[in-house]
Amino acid sequence: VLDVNQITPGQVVVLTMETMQAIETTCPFCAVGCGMVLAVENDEVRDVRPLRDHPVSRGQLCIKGWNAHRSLHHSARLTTPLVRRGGRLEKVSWEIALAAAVDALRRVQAEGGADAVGIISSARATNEDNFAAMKFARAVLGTNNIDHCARVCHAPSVAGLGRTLGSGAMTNSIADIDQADCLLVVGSDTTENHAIIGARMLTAQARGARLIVIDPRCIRLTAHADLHLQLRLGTDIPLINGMIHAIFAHGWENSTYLAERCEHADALRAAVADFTPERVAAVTGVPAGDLVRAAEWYATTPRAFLAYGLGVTQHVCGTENVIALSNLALVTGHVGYDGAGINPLRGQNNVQGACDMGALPDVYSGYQPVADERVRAKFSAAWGRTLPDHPGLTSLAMQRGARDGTLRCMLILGEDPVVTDPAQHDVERALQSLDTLIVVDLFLTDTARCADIVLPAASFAEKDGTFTSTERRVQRVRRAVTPAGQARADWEILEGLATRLGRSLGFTSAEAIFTEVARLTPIYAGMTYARLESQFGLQWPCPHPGHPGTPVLHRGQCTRGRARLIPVVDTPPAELPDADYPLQLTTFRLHFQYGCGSMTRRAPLLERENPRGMLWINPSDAAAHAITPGVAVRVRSRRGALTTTAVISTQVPPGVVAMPYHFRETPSNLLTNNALDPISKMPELKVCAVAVERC
Amino acid sequence: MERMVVLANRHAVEPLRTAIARERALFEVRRVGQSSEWCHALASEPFDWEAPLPLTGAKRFFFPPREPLLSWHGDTAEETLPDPRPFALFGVRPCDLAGISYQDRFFNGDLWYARRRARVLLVGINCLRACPGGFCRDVDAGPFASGGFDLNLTPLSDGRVIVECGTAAGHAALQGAAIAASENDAATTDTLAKAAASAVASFPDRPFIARALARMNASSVSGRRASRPATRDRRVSDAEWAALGPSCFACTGCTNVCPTCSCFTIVDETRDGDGERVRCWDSCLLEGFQREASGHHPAPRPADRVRRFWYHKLSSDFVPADGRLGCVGCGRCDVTCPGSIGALRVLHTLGAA
Repeated sequence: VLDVNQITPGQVVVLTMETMQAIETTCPFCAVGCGMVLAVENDEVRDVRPLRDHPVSRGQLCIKGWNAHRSLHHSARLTTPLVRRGGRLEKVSWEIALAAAVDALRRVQAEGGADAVGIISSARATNEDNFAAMKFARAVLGTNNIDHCARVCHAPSVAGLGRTLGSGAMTNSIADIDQADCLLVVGSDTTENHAIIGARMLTAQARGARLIVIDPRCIRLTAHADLHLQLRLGTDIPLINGMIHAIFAHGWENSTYLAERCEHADALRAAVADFTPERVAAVTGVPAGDLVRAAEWYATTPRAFLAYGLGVTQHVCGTENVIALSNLALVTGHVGYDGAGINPLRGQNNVQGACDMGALPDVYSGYQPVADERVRAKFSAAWGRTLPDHPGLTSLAMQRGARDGTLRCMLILGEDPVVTDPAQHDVERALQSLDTLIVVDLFLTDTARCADIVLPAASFAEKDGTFTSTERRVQRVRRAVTPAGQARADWEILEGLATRLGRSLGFTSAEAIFTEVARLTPIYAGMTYARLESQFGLQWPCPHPGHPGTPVLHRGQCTRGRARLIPVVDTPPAELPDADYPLQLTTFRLHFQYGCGSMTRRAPLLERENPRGMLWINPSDAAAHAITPGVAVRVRSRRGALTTTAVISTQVPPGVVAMPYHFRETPSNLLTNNALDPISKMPELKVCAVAVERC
Repeated sequence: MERMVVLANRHAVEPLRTAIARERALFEVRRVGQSSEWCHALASEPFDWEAPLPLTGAKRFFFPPREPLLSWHGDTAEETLPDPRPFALFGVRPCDLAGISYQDRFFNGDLWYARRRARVLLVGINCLRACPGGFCRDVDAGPFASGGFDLNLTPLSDGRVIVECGTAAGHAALQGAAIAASENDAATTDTLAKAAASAVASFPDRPFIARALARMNASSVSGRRASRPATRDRRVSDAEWAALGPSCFACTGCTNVCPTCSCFTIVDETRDGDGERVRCWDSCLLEGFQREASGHHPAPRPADRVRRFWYHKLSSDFVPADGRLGCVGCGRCDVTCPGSIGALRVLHTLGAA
């Protein structure tokens, strides 16, 4: 059958399998933190394989993981620094680019003070990169103006759960889903965005756990759910308060838990008194019977696992939404036990770590407050410099400062706010108003196109470090191949800038940074690379070298002591439909894409699945506007307009249209609202008013 | 020219490995933590007889995830054929041998596959007992291999090892190790048959597999059989496929780990006027796999694609063309499927009714 003598060889490429190496690492997409193996040959990653022994992913990956290597060697990778000259970005040496960046930082700070600069760190980069960025901001530039995309995903979780429990992360672990009797999933399209967690939820449902989904859209989970509460956009608080009302009314609360572990139960009981099922049904559109049944199932099962996503947080009342869920979990005593908890599903691979590392304007690593004099003294002593004492600007406040002229220079690492932040015209105006924009990225994103200086970053496969997954699991990322062209790890770039500014960060390797993280960060204090490698990572808090890590938080008592119940009342969305903009737009994420799409859109199989951004519209609204499948539609809001393609689907209810945000050609963020949650400064990405017409 | 030799103990296999490693790159399944991987092995380290089945099979040695087909530099283009050093896969399990034979038919005439395939020496190893999740017995792919190897090892419970020789290349490998194979004698053949029977008996009783396979064939496209009322009732209904559809996450894991899956796509990777045309693994479970330029899709719903996939794996309609059933019972898809609709789970669902 096989006769090699018949083959006429052409150009022969030697590809001997024996030159292949396998490098274990952590998936760079989403915060589930799946284990994977990179197959490396001739300094290129050829292939990705799942890691069967990994405790979370257990031999599975979603399609993004299977394609994680596709963008690494793409011809569009940035391989040299670029500096804008005469309006064009031109290739220059590192020496010239770093000198230009240092000149800009010096000039702007000399003219506008230390706080005239701002840093956006990257939830896609390693903990080591993020720690270096926060040290660079505070110890080198002398400003607390550092933030990252957690602002637009789970800042309300950090704020809300911080207030109620004392810690803003997932209280439990992904494996706890296996033990739960009831799963309550709120505003999370888990199977699409955290596929391996979503799969575990479906497995739990199949073995008999009750699955309750609260979501305005019909999603894959709702097809399997025992109960789908399809609430109107932005009515989370009345719905949750209604469930708490029903729990108190029927005596389903855990009174022992309330008495022993919580405070202000009476205030909460009084505050929800008005939220009768009938009144809540009228506000939310959820039938009173379903609401009461959901409350009963959630409250009366021994182990109830509550998970939520950006459907909860991306509202002007995002922090209050989180607090409402926290109230629900506490009233029923579902915090501090196996198979239970309140679990924000973090979005990006290392958004948990970027928060942990203190890439936030008000805390150092490990959530140690900048405003706390003792903490500040500790970091000042460690870094040999008096550190600024007032919290810095959040990401959207930096953009406002740029538009006002008070913030003059931004350094953006591995983020693309032009595509991912709300009200795109405002974002672009902010970036264009800057004296100097410095962007560090893998690709020339739309944000990088606005930059004066672009620095090429090393990818996850080109550097050592750690990512912290949504379950607080700190895991190794390993250098498998040489960085593309002249690309460098973010921390190396920051060290280069710091040295030229006369204040070295003192970092010579990723591991050296991690050692400093452990020394200055109590929740990471017991971690070393050697320990992480011996057991697929450790879950914080891990306060000393013998500590096994913490799969479940708040056992016995909460991090802050007694858990706090905080009454919250309804806050309607900042923008409601009216005669000019009669429909509500919500945003969501597609299974096959990730963030701004700079990586996933360069993977051929992923890009083929959803080649364009689209607008999902209910058949009744489509009929009213003579929209047929696949036609071009014009979508307008008060902030912008775009043309895209219609998908007619009952996944969205009447009156609601939905768009994914990954696509730069049809950026949903041209339309979205940048009204802010006053507590966490989260913009209301999940709801705004639009008009839709057939082109 | 079936020949066999009985080695006195497992250690007697080591000279064979050493001899093979002198001529070829030696690959073996090695334990990595609790699981295993195909690794470039040193003959000086003893063979691991108990290494579990690796999640990724042997197909990547012949049909790699990424195979450059041609390259161009400015105006000139050249075919790029692989030229691997002769290699040996030592310890291929029967399920993977069945997969390789299956792919030999599919890729018959494919120069890139043939180049790699011609350089290999396949040394199989029979399974003395069922592995967790494996059901090769029920789809006629194991636990003992009936062919598709150059050499095949059967480690007996008394410590001896029967080596079967299937090809001239296998014979040469034995000669290289100064191991003399003889004509099959009745006693050895009998010992082998007894070991096979014992291995077959080690499998858990899974009557749902036969029932499910019967139902898959009752839904044959030929229609002739399906027209009989008795089989029509047994056919897998649209509703059953529709129920399985939402469990497919389109991760492509099953098609990536499947020893018989062979779908690929062609990608042009370009850089500054140079480039490569590369053959990459694809998956029929992706919506984009079969979407036509007009937007029309012959299998528009996940359920349609799940049905098509399992039809190709489990229906005897394809046996005339493919030489055997499309499923070799290795159980890998059950491990890697996030939606819990790997082969054994699907067979259980369809066969339980």
